Amino acid sequence: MKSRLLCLALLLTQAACISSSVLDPEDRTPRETAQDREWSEALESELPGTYVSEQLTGQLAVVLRMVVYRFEPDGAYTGAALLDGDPPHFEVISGSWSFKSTALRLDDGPEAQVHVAPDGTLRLSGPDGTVILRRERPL
Amino acid sequence: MIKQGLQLLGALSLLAWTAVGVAAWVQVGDGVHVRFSQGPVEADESDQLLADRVAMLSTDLDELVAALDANLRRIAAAIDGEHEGVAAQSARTQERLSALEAALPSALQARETAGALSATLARLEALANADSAQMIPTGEPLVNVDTTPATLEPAPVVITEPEPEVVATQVVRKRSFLAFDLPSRDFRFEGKQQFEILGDLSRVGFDAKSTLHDFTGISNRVQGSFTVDLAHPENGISGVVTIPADSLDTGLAGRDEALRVHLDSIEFAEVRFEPTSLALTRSDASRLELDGLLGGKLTIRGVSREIVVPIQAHVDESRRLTLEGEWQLLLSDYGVPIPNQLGVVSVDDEVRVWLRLRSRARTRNVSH
Repeated sequence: MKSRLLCLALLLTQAACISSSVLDPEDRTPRETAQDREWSEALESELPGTYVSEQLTGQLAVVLRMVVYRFEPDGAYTGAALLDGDPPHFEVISGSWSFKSTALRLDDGPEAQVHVAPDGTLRLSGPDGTVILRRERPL
Repeated sequence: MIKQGLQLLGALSLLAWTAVGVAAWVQVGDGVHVRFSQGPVEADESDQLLADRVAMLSTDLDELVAALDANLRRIAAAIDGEHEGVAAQSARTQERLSALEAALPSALQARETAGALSATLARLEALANADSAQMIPTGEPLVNVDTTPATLEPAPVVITEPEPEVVATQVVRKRSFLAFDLPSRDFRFEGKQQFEILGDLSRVGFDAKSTLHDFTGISNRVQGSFTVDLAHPENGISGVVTIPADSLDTGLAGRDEALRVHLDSIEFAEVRFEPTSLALTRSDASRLELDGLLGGKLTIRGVSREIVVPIQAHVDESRRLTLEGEWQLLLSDYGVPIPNQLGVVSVDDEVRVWLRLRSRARTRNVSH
């Protein structure tokens, strides 16, 4: 009897050290990392670099799985997109980019508004949606 | 004196007689017409003239009737001919319609093949424009081209619901601000589609109550896919969603180990759900939302039971279909031993299971 009481006391003591760990229903959905950044208008000098998409939203997200870009300081760029399909496949492009005010234009395509986060992440917003591009350091 | 009176009377009488005569002449003169003729011959000529005029009018009338009759006959003949022409044209149209209906399956298959060839052509053009031959491994085909077009030997195809707009979107491409030519297409409810679970962005978990404290177990390793027509889920839903039984994480290593033992995760490696029905309770295609009752077979520890889960689904800003739902289950229904320590600390038999799934519609339609 004494041993049982001792075990019970130990368990109660242990339980007191363990707080309830029920997840709030609001937190059940996995969060996406791009949600909490602070964005500011980008400068042309902040664009050159290599980027990988972190989040795609809008109509383009229906068919795009990911994009990768490389912007050169001299105005050249190359990019690859993984498109949904049967099977999914990559498309590769290259051309020249131009920057005016806060708008980026690739070749003669539509303009995209560019914002940048403190960690160098870019956000491109155009008529078809928004792309969050994480800055990468290619090996 | 008398003599003068008589003269005056005589004059007055003469005047009165004259006045009466004049008045009578005036009154009778308007009603009397006097004709002068030379005899009965003139009257016969007038009648003859009248008779001639009547005869001439009769002749004209006969000619008019004859002309009208001829014209009416021509009009009737023309109407009959036109009717025959319309009937013949209708017959030809019916024949063409029948021929088109007979050729429809082959045409749809040919169109699908054309769409695939167009997509392949676009990819070839993109590759050519990219001027990046070094990126293409030598010895491997540039693209996968199906060289057996269905138009040569049309295979039997069962088309339950033609979706011409889907085929069109495979061909029509639009230059996006990302400089890629992307198919102009948006999420839709209509049509049977296959949705793949995005494992990294999905969760399945449970909330359990124990004697001392409550806890949650979560699995982030959700896999699977399902096929459904969101506009007509009554046509059926199929697929499978699984989690590894040993992937449930409660935040305590010892409790996780005990959970694996209770679920016998070595013998029964996965928890499995196979949806079989979806009954809508609310659907708003314009907002891309729906609520419903998802039925299916849930298998835990090798024991399968039919369940019905209330779910809410919507399409998020990344055009992914998200599913949320939760329900209660009894561990004992699935043969899961109730965790119990020394008969003092135990977990409730009833646990609340919940799911948060994100899924992506595959591009191609499913036609089976």
